[in-house]
Amino acid sequence: MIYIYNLMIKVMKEEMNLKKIWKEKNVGVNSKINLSRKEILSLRRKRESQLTGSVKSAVITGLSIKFTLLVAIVVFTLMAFELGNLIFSISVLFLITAGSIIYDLYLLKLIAGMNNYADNFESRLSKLNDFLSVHIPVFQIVNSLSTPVMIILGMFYYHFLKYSKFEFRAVDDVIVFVSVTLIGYAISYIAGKYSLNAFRNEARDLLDSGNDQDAIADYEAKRRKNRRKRLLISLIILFTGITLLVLLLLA
Amino acid sequence: MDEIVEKIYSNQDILNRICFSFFNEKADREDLFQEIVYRVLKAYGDFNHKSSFSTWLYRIALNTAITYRKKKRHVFLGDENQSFIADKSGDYDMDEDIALLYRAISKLNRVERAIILLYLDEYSYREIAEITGYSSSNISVKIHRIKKKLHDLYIQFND
Repeated sequence: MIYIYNLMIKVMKEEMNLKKIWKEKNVGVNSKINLSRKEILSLRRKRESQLTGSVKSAVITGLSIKFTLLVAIVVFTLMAFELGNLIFSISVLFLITAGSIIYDLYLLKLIAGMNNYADNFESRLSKLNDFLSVHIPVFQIVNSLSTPVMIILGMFYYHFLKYSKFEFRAVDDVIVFVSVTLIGYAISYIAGKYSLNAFRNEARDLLDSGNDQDAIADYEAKRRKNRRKRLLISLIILFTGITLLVLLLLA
Repeated sequence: MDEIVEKIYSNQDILNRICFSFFNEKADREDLFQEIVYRVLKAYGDFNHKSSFSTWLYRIALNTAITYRKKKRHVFLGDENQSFIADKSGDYDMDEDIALLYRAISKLNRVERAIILLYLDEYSYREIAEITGYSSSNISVKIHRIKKKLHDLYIQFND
């Protein structure tokens, strides 16, 4: 009992000592860096942090491409209004592109939220965790859709401007069309995956650096759940794409 | 704008302590210091005066320090062979006790460092909970654990 009491007293004293050292001997540290008022004011012009910059620029580039595609779809619809067999396909392309634009705008809003440094840091790390485990993988899937949309639309334009109609003349045409579209999606997906890897690693490292086991477990659970979700979304996209191509073939 | 400049000017001691706890290299500390000041200037428009300025400043500064990454990654990880007193930049004239304490702090992970800084600067558990976003009971447990770890490290370095 006396031993425990002495131990407690010892711990309390040492604890007080650490606080005392901190309070009394920090004088040299407190004024190590000392900016003038003018220097403080000039820092307002300093550039933005790079942490979310790579993702933000990827989203903005993706948005520009999608807006261009949307305009191209509208122009094609006006030009080829009489081609009844393409109305369904064009509508699907329009919906995919418009949906991607809405998702990108939502992502930009999330990024702005992540840059709120006045938030408490548990909340910021949690937002980062969500962004990393949920939104980045979905962004990759959604963003990669621009390439197949571009290929299909390009094909429509080519056929319409050259033949004033769109139809497959042989089975080979269908195979080439489907293959090119799928390869386009795959290349775009893989390229996107690598371009976002740096950000993913940086963010993951940041979460790990807290050594907060709950946060890491939460991240892993979300990642596993999201992997299933990604597989489902990919299958839906694949099924939709194949259905669209079959419908085109039958039209 | 003059008001915030004046407030930052008179609270630079807090920023110095945070920078010293997170980075060893002088250049890295200066970069972090500037990044924090920039973040504070940028966020000041949203400061609602519900908490004190120093609490709000601490929150932004720690957020920045935790998430701030250097390209060269000179993150101070408390290398056994690296002493605060023998820093390469040669800008130390620190008391040995405080150098040891900073060295012990540098062995903690970034979130632990943030919490112990607030504790050493005598913020209440409620205020620390508010700044970090953890519950008060969670903070109490964390602080107990970090204090023990810090104390052990300090004794170890002091021997």
